[in-house]
Amino acid sequence: MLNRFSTTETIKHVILILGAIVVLLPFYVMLTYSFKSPHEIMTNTGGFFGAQELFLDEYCVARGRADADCMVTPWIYNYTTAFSKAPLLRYLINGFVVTGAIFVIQVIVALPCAYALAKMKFWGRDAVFALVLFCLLIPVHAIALPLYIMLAKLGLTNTYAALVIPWTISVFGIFLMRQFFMTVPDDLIDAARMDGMTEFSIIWKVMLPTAIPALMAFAIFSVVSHWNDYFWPRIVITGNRDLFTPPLGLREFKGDADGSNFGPMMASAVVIVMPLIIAFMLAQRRFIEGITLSGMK
Amino acid sequence: MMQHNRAYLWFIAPALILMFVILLLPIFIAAGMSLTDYSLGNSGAEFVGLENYEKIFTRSTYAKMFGATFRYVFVVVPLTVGLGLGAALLINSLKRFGDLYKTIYFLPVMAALIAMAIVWEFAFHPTIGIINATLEHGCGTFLEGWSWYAKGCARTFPLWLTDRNYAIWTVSFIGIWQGFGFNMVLYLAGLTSIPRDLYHAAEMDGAQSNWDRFRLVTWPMLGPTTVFVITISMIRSFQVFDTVEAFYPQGGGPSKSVYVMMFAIYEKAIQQNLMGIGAAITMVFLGFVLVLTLLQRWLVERRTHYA
Amino acid sequence: MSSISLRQIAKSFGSTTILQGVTLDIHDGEFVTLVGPSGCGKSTLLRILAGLETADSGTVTIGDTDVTQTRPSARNLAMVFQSYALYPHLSVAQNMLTPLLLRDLSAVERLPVVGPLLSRAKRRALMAQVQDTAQTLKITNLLARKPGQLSGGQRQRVALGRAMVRNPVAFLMDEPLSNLDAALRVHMRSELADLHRRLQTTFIYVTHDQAEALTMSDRMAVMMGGKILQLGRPDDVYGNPNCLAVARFVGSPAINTIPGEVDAAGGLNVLGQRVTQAAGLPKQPVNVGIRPEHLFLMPTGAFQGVVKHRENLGSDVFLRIGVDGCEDQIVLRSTPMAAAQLGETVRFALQPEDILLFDAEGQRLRPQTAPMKVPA
Repeated sequence: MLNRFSTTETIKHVILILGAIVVLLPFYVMLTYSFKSPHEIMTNTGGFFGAQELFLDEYCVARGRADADCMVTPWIYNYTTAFSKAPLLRYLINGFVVTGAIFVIQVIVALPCAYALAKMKFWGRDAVFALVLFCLLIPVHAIALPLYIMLAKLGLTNTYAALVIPWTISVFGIFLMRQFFMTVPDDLIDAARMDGMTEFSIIWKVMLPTAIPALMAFAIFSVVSHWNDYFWPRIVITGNRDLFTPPLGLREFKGDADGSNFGPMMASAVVIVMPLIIAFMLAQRRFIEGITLSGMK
Repeated sequence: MMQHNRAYLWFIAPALILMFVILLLPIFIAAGMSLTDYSLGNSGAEFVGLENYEKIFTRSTYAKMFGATFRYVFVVVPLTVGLGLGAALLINSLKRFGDLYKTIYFLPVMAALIAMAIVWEFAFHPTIGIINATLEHGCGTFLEGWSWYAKGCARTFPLWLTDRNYAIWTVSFIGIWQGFGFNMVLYLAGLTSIPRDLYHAAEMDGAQSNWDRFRLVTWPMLGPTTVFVITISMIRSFQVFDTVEAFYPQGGGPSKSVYVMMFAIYEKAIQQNLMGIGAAITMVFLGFVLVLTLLQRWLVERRTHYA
Repeated sequence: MSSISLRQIAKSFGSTTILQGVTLDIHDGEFVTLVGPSGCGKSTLLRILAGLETADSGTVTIGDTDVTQTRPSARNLAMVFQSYALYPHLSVAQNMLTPLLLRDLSAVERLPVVGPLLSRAKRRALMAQVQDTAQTLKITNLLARKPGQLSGGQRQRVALGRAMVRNPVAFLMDEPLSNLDAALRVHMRSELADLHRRLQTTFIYVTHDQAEALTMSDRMAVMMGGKILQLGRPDDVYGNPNCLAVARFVGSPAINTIPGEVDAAGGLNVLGQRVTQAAGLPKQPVNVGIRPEHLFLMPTGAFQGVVKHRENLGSDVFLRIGVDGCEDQIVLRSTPMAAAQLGETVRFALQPEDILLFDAEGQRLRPQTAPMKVPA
C-alpha cells in the first residue's frame, strides 16, 4: 500500500474511460439523433446538436399548406412529432398509473403477510415462509403463457387489470419486508399492544413508518422493473393503443418508422428513458440500494 | 397475543391466495397444457402425451432455440460477471471519480431495454450507423494489419444484426452492455463488506502483490457474491426477449440464429396460438431456472463462513 | 537483538492531526502498552509501526535498520487485530500456515494444484511449525475447524497463534481483548502476561482500558491528543503522574480533584482548611488531586460531607460524598465494615504526602521539600 504510483492510477482511468465511452455510446446516439434533421441523420453530419437548419416538413406540405409555413427546426420538430404522431403523453400516463397501481397493491398485500411471518406466532408459519422461499424461484415472465390464458378466459386481456394482476403478489417484497421486520425489536410491538393498538393498526402505524427505508428501496426496485417491462404488456395488450405503456408505444413507433421518422422516434425514446434516468441521477444511492436489494436473497 | 390469535389469517390470506393463483396454479396449468394440443378459441383439446416434449428435443427448430439460448447465456454470463468484477475492483481501488464511473456504468441498467435496443439498431445500421462509420475512419491506418479489418475496408464491414454469423454475438454484446453494471454494483457491495482488517492481516502475513491479496482475501470473501451474481445473471439472460423481439419481430433472426426460448414461447403460443408447445417450452424453461437456483442455494449454504 | 524506536512520528488525515511528533523507544523483550482514550492516536501509531499506515514525517527503526519505507511483511512484525481478522474461508491450521507460506514459498510453489506438488517437503516442515505453536497455545484440537465454528476466546488464541508461528521481532496487538466478555478478558490478561514471559519477545499493546495497561505492561505510554503525555512503569504513572490528564485517566474510580489555593505564605488551602505547607510555590489557585484510597473516614477528620451514593463492590465500598464548596462529589474508598450509610454525615481526613498538586493548566507542581504534616 506504500507509495502507490500515479501511473497505475492513470492506467485504471484510461481503462474505465474507454468502458464509459462504450456504455455511453447509445445514449449519445439517442440524444444526438433526437436533435437532428433527417438529412443529417442519413449523412451522419451536424455534430452533437445538429446544425438546426430549418427543413421542410413533407407531411405538412402533403396537407396542402404552403412550403414557407412548413419549415421547421429539427429538434422542435422531432419532439413535437413524438408527442403528436402517437399519443405519447397517454402512454406516459399509462406507465405512471400501471407502475403506481402495481406498487401500491404489492405493499398492501405484502406488508401484513411479512408482519405476520416476522412477528406473530401461529401454526404453519414456517410452512408459509417455506412457500414464500419456493415462490422466489419462479420468474413471473416464465409463466406468462398460462397467466395469459387464465386472463384470456376471464376476458381480461386488453385491460389495465391484465397489466397489473400478475404483479400484485411480490414474493420478493414479502421476503424483504419480513427480513426487515425481524430486526424491529419485539418490545416496540408489545408497547404498541399495551397502548391498545390492534394488530392491524400496528402494521400501518408502527411497522410501516419504521420500514420506510426498506420500502423506498423496494419501491425503486418495483417501479424500475415495471416501467421498463416490455414482455408482459406485449403479450396482453394487443392493438388497443389507449392501454399502451411507454415501451409498447415506442415499439409501435418503430413498426411504422421510415427514414424521416428516425428523429421523432429517438425523441420518444429520450422521453421514455429520461424519467427514470433523471430520478436515478437525483437519488443515486437509494436507486442502487433498491436495485441491489435483489442481492439480499 | 390472546385476543389477536386469529388476526394472522387476515394478514396472510391475501398473499397466500395470490401466491397460489398467480404463481403456483399457472405452473400446473402449463404442465397440463404441455401434454395437449390446446389452442385458444378452439373448444376441445386432444391429449397428445409427451409429443410436444418430443418435438422440442428432436426438431431442428428447437435445436436452434437451445443453441441460440445457450450461446447467449454462455457468452453473456461470464462476460457480465467478469466485467462487473473487473469494473468493481478498478473503481474500488480508485482514489477519485469512482462514483462517476459507477453512475455511468449503472445507466444501462436503468434504461428501458426496448428503447436502447432500438438505439443500438441504429448504431449498428450498416450504412448510417455510427459503428461502421467509425470503423471506416480506421481504414488506411495500422488497423488494416488485422486481416478482419482489412477485409471490412476492402468490401464492407459486417451487417451485424442481419448477418447470421454476427447476429447472436451482436445481441449478446447488447446483453453484456446492459447487464454488467448491475453485477458491478453487487460486487461493489460485496467488496465493502470485506473487513479492512483482513487486508491488513494479509499484508502483515506477507501477501505483497495485489494478486496475492486477491487470492487470499478478496476472491474467497466474494464467494457468496459471485455465486449469487452468476445465478441471477443466468436467470436474467435465459429470459432475454426485448432485444430479440425488437430486432426480429418475425422468426428469430437470420436463419433463426437468435431464436431464444422466451421468444420461442411468444412466437409459438401468442403469435401462432400453439399453446401446447408453448407450455412445453415453458416447463423446460422453468426446469432450467429451478435447477440453477437450487444449485445456487446449495453452493451458498456449503460456503457460508461465519455461522 | 532488536529494539524498536519511533522518532518524531507525525500524521494527519486531511485537516485532522492524529499524531504530533511522537517519539518512543522500546527495548528488546519489553511489554509496552499504549493507552489512551479513543481518538488519541494510539492505534494509528501502532499501524505506522506495522507499516499499514505511512507517517507524514518521522522514522521507524527496528534494530539498526530504518524501516520507514519498508513493506509491512518485510518488517517481521506480527499483529493481532481487534476483530482477529482470521480468514473465514480457511481452517485454523491454514490460517496459521498462511504467513509461513507467503514468507517461505516462491510464487510458483504457491500456485494452486501445481504448488503443493512441488513443495511437499517444505509444506510438511511448515505444518510442523504450526503444530508446535498450536501445542503451546493448547489449540491443537481446533486446527481443523473454521473460524466461524470457534468461540470468541478460541478465535483470540488462533489469532495469537497466527502471529506466533513466524517468530516475529515483536507482537503488535490492537485492543485484542475488547471483543471478549469480562471474565474471559481478565483471564486472558494473565495468560498474555504469562505468554510474554515465556516468549521473551517484545509486545506492543494498544488499549483504551487503563486496567489492562496497569496489570500487564513493563512500561506504559499514556497518549492523548496525538502526544505521549507520560511514559513509565505502571507504578510510576499511577503514583507520580506528570499532569492532571494522566492522573485522571489512570485509576478507577478516577482521582478526586478539588480546587485549592497556595497562599502568599506558601500554605496549601483546601476547602477552607490549611492542609500542608507547599514550599517554594508562588501564590496561585491549584488543583488538588487525591486518590480515593488515600482518603479515610475519621471522626476527627478535617473535612465533612454527606454520603450521596454508596457503591458496594464486596471487598471495597466506594462512598461518594457531597462536600460544601466542592462541585464534584468526592470519592472515598472504605471497607464494608467501616463504611457509612447513605445520607449519613461523615468526617474524613487525608495524608498530606499523598496529595498531588497541579496548576490551573493541569501541569504537575512539585513543592521543593516534602510537605510538612500539620495537625488535623
